[in-house]
Amino acid sequence: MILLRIVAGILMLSLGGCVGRSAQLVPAGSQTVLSTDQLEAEWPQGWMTFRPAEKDEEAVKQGLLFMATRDGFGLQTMRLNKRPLDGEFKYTQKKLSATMLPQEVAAIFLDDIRSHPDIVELKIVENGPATLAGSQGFRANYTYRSKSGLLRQAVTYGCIDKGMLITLGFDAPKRHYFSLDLPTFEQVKDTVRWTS
Amino acid sequence: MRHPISFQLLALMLCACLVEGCTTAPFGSRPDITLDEDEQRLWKSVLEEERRLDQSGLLYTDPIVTDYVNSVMAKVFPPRSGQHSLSVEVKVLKNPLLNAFAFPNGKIYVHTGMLARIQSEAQLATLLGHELTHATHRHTIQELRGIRRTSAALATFQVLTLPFGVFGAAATALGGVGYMGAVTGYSRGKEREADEVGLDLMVQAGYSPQEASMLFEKLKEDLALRKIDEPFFFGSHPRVQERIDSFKELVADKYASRGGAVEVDRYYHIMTPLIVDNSETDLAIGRVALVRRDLQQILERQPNNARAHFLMGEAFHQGHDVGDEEQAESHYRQAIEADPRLADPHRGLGYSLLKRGDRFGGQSELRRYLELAPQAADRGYVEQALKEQS
Repeated sequence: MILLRIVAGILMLSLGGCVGRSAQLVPAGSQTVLSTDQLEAEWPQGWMTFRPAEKDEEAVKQGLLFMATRDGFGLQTMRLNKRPLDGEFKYTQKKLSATMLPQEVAAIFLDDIRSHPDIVELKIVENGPATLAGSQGFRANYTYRSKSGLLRQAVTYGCIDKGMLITLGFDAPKRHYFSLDLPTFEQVKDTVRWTS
Repeated sequence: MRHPISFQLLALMLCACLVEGCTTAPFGSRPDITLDEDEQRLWKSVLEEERRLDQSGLLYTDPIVTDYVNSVMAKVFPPRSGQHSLSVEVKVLKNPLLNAFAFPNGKIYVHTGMLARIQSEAQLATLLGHELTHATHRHTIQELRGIRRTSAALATFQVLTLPFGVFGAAATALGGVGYMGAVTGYSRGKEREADEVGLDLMVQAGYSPQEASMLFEKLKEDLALRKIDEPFFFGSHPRVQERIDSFKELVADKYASRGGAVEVDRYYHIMTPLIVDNSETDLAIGRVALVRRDLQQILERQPNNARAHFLMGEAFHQGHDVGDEEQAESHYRQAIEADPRLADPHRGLGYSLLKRGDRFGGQSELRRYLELAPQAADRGYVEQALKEQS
């Protein structure tokens, strides 16, 4: 157990060294409510959460606030993102605007995934209206095959509010893991709220 | 005998040149060509890269398209059994970027984005002839032999694929060999040789050499429209300009008054579905101007292509200029007229009509959309819109 803690400590230090001094990998069970200056969410107990460093340029660009997993990020990942509307998407050149309808926002969000060169066989299972953090938005449920050939399924809630695009996503291998953790994800979704 | 050392040196250098010439003589030039150890290793690593690409899910597998591009290749390079060990085959990759590259074993990959830019079979023959020459003339191994440590060089190429950002991520599917062919290209001399031999091959196959430089003129126009260079060889403005200059000079020198087959109609007849598919990907990326131009070319040839009209409607719907929404509506209507059972144009038209206040017309089109596509993934939005309007 002591050895495990030492290894975990080294891992956390090295992660911090890689992505910047303030990256935080929080072990299971120690914290469930994670908040930033404006948004917070209650994460499931027993899950590990990751908060990227301020200097992690890619995370900042994508507006990543938190990530969470129980068994490893490849097996199930939840992500909460908040980014300004004039920010660039990673793959599509399309832009958001504050007057867009939820389905228009969802279409651009999905176009970005569709334009991802390593994602193939994208299929939209369902794309419909939903609420996130009290705002009207979308819920997109889709499957795709990853670069390694694994069939994965994801659900993303998104909305535009206070000049920001807020998304909460869940991604897992379609077989076993997706249906196993989807109810937990839906519970997390209900806890996303503005703090100010 | 006044300069014995110099003479010996000269003789040695001559021998070295001859040996070098023998070991990299083009396939087909002699019957006894065998691969050296380093070239065998290269071919082995290529098989792995090829396997990765073929299993990536990125292959465009429409047999009509793949049979066609391979039939053009068979004209450019008729099979000559026993004279070479290449297994020549053309494969198409689903990718909207301008790219084509050859592996040393004769496998040639062409992106859908490149095929969408080509405007005739003769232009396709030009491209295939150019790429094939890199394989027949063993350019990859020659290039690698110029680098001290082959394995280190290949590893460097793989690492270099990473920092290209948005579009460059597509290059990460390639290994070191593919990267050299697709991204960096070969030395100026080898590219010139590929132009020259490729041009001879397409002329011998009966195609018009006058089409050769037109392909690259078109790519140049496209790069201007895209406003940025792409990471691949054929997406780089200076490299494309080199090809234009090179082909113009070669044609003027050797084939100034030579005509031949062009085959525009056949090319578009077979490639139209691919060009429309590629436009859908470009639309997702947000390259609206390119989509409008490509689809306009399709609609001039096939005015009743419902899917092209629908995507054109979507492209105008995403525009912000005066009249774009009217154009979108017009194309949705033409798509419905061409194929009333195609669901998507009804949704597009329905939303357009609602937006300009035609509640009855909009509702009617959205209901029709749901009738035609009862399992539509976006049913929720449509039902919500209908509910809000009732």
